[in-house]
Amino acid sequence: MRGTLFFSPLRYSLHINFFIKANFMKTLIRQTLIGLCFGMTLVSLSASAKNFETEQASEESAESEENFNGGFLKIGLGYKVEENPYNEGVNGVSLFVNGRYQWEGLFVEAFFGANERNEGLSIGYNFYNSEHWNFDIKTVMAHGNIYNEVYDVDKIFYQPLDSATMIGLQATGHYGQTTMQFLVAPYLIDAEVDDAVDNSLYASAWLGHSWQIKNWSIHASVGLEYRSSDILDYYYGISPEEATANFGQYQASSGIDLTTQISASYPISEDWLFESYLRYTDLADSISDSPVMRVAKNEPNRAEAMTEVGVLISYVF
Amino acid sequence: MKTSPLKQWKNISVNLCCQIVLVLTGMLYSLSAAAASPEIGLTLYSNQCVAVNQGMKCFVEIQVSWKITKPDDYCLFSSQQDSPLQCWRNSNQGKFEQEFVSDKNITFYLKQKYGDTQLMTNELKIVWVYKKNSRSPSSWRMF
Repeated sequence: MRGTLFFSPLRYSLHINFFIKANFMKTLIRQTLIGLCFGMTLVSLSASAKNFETEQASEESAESEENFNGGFLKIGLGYKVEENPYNEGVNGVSLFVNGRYQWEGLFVEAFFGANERNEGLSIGYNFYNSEHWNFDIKTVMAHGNIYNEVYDVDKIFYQPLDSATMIGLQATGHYGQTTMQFLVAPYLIDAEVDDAVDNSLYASAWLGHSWQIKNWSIHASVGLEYRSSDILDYYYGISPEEATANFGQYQASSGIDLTTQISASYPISEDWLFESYLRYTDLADSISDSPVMRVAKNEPNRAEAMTEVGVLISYVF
Repeated sequence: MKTSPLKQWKNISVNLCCQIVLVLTGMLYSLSAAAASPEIGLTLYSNQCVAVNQGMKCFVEIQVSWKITKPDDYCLFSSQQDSPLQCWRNSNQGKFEQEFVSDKNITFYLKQKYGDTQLMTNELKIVWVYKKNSRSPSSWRMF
């Protein structure tokens, strides 16, 4: 048995392999275009809704939005050690990009490394804010693309699967140094995945807390991510037609991934940060039990769970 | 009498070395003189404290030194408290060191012990990597 198992489950976007890179770029471009269309629709809706508001309400709205407008871009360079079942991991110098910009409620977020929410590019609209809670509608990559091509003893086991971008409702609560975030995303954007998945649901719940020790900022968080059985079966299930001698038929049930991260940041100057982090993700049983993952975890430089540790220096624009 | 090129080169090198030594000695002397006797005024050896997020308190070890022409009884104050940080009797210079914790700029000033006039001032600026407008409250921790 020989071949390649290339996965990009949510979070593992920047693979060195050509297939993954090409798929990632395709996904990124598609997501950006969809996001832009989505954003323009929201801008026009927002503009027409504003025409009906009273002058006073407009002033209040302008005042509150003024506080939320703005953003940052952080580019970091550091050393990362990563181990997971999806690819051969990373042990070397890495680039980290994180950023967010919001204008008039519309926002774009980029999570590429050194953050527990390693979700790539996301676009959304922040439509309601109260003292402690903020509500958004946004895109989220519920699962990355997967490319399996293995020459088994009887035939080729072949699964090229697109990433799943979804739209959902997000609520973020802030109580002192504690942040909680809940997301429910029932709508798939990717047509190819949508055609293959009947009941799609991605939901996540995150809880984070920050501490300050002198000028160090310590942050700990824990998150649960639920994916419906149809989504997991699309990526990990093996139909009778696809099944081979070593990759038998498999039907994945719904599952929950558990992620925990601890990180520390220290300001070197007004623009430079030193950061370090440790992240661990325990994948859902229905993922780990799949025949593909059972083989993958035993491949060289792979592991059953996802672990990542990194140190980096970042410039914040 | 003509000197050989080798000797000329040797003379130039010696001359250059002497000049470098002289310049370095001068620089070292001026540095040590500055350290030993600060300029007239109130000096902060660190005039900026950086914290990660706006609103976070910043911790900084501050060294303050002051020098004035006329010896008298002087007190050093900060904008954090009404009482003096330290007073000196019949002196024209002093040094003070302490850890400060603040989320606002701190002004240090020197007054005569029984006077109201601020004779000299300097400010410690508190800055943040992530300013308030760099983050919407709806965002997850991005850093």
